[in-house]
Amino acid sequence: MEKILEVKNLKKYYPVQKGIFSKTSDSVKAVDGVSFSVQSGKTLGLVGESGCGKSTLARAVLRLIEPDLGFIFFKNKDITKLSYKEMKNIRRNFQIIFQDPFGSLDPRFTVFAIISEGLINFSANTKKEVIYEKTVKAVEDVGLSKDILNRYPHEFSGGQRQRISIARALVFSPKLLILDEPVSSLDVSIQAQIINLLINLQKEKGLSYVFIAHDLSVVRHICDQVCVMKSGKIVERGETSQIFANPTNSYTQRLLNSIPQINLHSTS
Amino acid sequence: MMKKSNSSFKRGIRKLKQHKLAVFSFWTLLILYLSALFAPIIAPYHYETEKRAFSYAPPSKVHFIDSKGKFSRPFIYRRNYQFNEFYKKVYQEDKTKKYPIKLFVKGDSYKFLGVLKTDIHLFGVDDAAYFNLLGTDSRGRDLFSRIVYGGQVSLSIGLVGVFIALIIGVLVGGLSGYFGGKTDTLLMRLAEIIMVIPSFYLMLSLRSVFSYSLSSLQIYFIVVFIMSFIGWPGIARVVRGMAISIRQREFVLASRALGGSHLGIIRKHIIPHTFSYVIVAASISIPGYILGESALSLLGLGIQDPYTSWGNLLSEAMAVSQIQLHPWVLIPGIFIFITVMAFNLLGDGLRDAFDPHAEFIKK
Ligand SMILES: Nc1ncnc2c1ncn2[C@@H]1O[C@H](COP(=O)(O)OP(=O)(O)OP(=O)(O)O)[C@@H](O)[C@H]1O
Ligand SMILES: [Mg+2]
Repeated sequence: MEKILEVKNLKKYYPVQKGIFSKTSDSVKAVDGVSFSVQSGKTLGLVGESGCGKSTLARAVLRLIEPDLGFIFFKNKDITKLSYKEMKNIRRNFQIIFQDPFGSLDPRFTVFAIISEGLINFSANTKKEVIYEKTVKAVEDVGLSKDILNRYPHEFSGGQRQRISIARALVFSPKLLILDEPVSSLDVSIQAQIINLLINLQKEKGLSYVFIAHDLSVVRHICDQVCVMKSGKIVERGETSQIFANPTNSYTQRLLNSIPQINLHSTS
Repeated sequence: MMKKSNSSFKRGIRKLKQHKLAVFSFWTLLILYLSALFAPIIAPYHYETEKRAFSYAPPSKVHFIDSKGKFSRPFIYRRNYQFNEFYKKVYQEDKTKKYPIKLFVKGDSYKFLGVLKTDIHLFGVDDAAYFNLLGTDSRGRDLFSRIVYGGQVSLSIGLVGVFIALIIGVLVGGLSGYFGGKTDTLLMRLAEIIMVIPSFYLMLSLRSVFSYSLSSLQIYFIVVFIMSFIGWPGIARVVRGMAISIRQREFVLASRALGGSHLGIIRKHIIPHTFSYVIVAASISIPGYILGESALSLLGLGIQDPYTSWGNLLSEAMAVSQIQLHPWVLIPGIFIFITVMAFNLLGDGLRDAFDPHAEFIKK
């Protein structure tokens, strides 16, 4: 099977200044030598407690922030050292859904402007009508009506905003989606809706996912493989069923024991 | 449902309206700016019109009751002068003929807004008398007219100067905050250098770079340039701070993932979020520009005779003896004071109403 994404020994340290006068600065090892790969059309879960570096990893992999060390391959092409301009052509292939549905949409933009931003960036000379059509298709794909296009983000609930984020990411048909805790800030009933939407979109469009979560409950239903992260490192990895059946790492066991129950099929 | 930009704007306006002083200041400024705009109509005389015989004439007395004790429409008397024992002019009213104050009278001709040639003035008296609402200066020019014309310079320099300083400050601050690193260090050191030099000293040294004898328009733009050169660093520093916090927000990262260029992101996602601050900062800093122009002109380095600005008019009041003998030469200072106060109060109101930090913390 083809690897769509491969990450090797990725590191991202944040400098922390200790005192005003001391030159010696410490650093937070947010991501400390992480390697993993994602198979085309599959879902890889990344699980770890809050602050273990999941968001940092997600952002560094897409080079939204610059990793300090390591390699990132997209379809076997090394994208680690590409310039910002060179990255632009690659970016249409992968997108990210952010953790915070309130912070990830510019409050000054209408839904239409938000969703069409990527389309306009990636295909500069597209006709207005085509952009409009594609945008309408994208909102309808995520289960929203095209009537919302003139409205502003603050008028929507968290779940609706995540749908808008998904539409924004999928409007130009990328292959890979990094989902950074897409449902952790939502109500349990809404969580199930969004997860089901993601599962359906994956089937329809043959997407590959990196699904980030801070507990294992959601992961079971959507992931083929799971990596367990702790303090910037991956401490356990394997097929989802295997991780749930017999976890070897004590940290994974602890995560497993603290799973709250959610029922994915009660609402949709 | 209401659109966000709209509703928060309306909320701000509502809050602003509760701020009585700010509302009062707003109307005061509106009147001042309108009268500067319509100066040629409002001023009864052209700013260059001089009647040497009437140098340092005190404000004309406006009468409502005529010599027979009857109530009448406002009028003035012609004035004659004699020299007293100290060779000082003493003006006396010649009560034989009334000169009623008329609306829309013919007077000095002018081109309104540079095109429309006309000679209609809002008010005035027949030519035989000289109507000086606020007295005259050393050359017998009507002070009220000169103040109204002077407002064109003094009031517009604040707006134009702030506008230029804002553009530079927002751009530099946005770039500096977004890119960080070397760009940031370089730009911010530059801003700090300008900020640590006492601004009055900087103003004078910048003025000395340019020739002394220039056309009034050139001087105007030099003064604007000097004032905005001094003004941009303060704005840049705050915009930079805001840009640093905005650049870490997820919608900025999202825009990067969506293939946005750095400059595009700064323009679309960073700078618009600083606007509420920038507008408040602008209204608060306008007085600085007005005072700066006044200071330069007062020293004879700004707007020069026969053109007028409030600072330039005040230069007549530089000697204490002048103030004692002709206290009305201080009146341009009152206009400066009122304008500066009004901008400060309006700025306070705007800050309370559109508190940019509140919006910032909210989400
Ligand atoms: N810009 C930053 N500067 C300094 N330290 C940071 C920065 N961003 C994150 N960190 C630190 O890096 C570590 C990892 O943060 P990260 O946001 O990646 O964690 P996370 O696993 O996504 O957590 P959560 O589940 O809460 O989202 C944390 O200790 C955090 O404090
Ligand atoms: Mg996170």
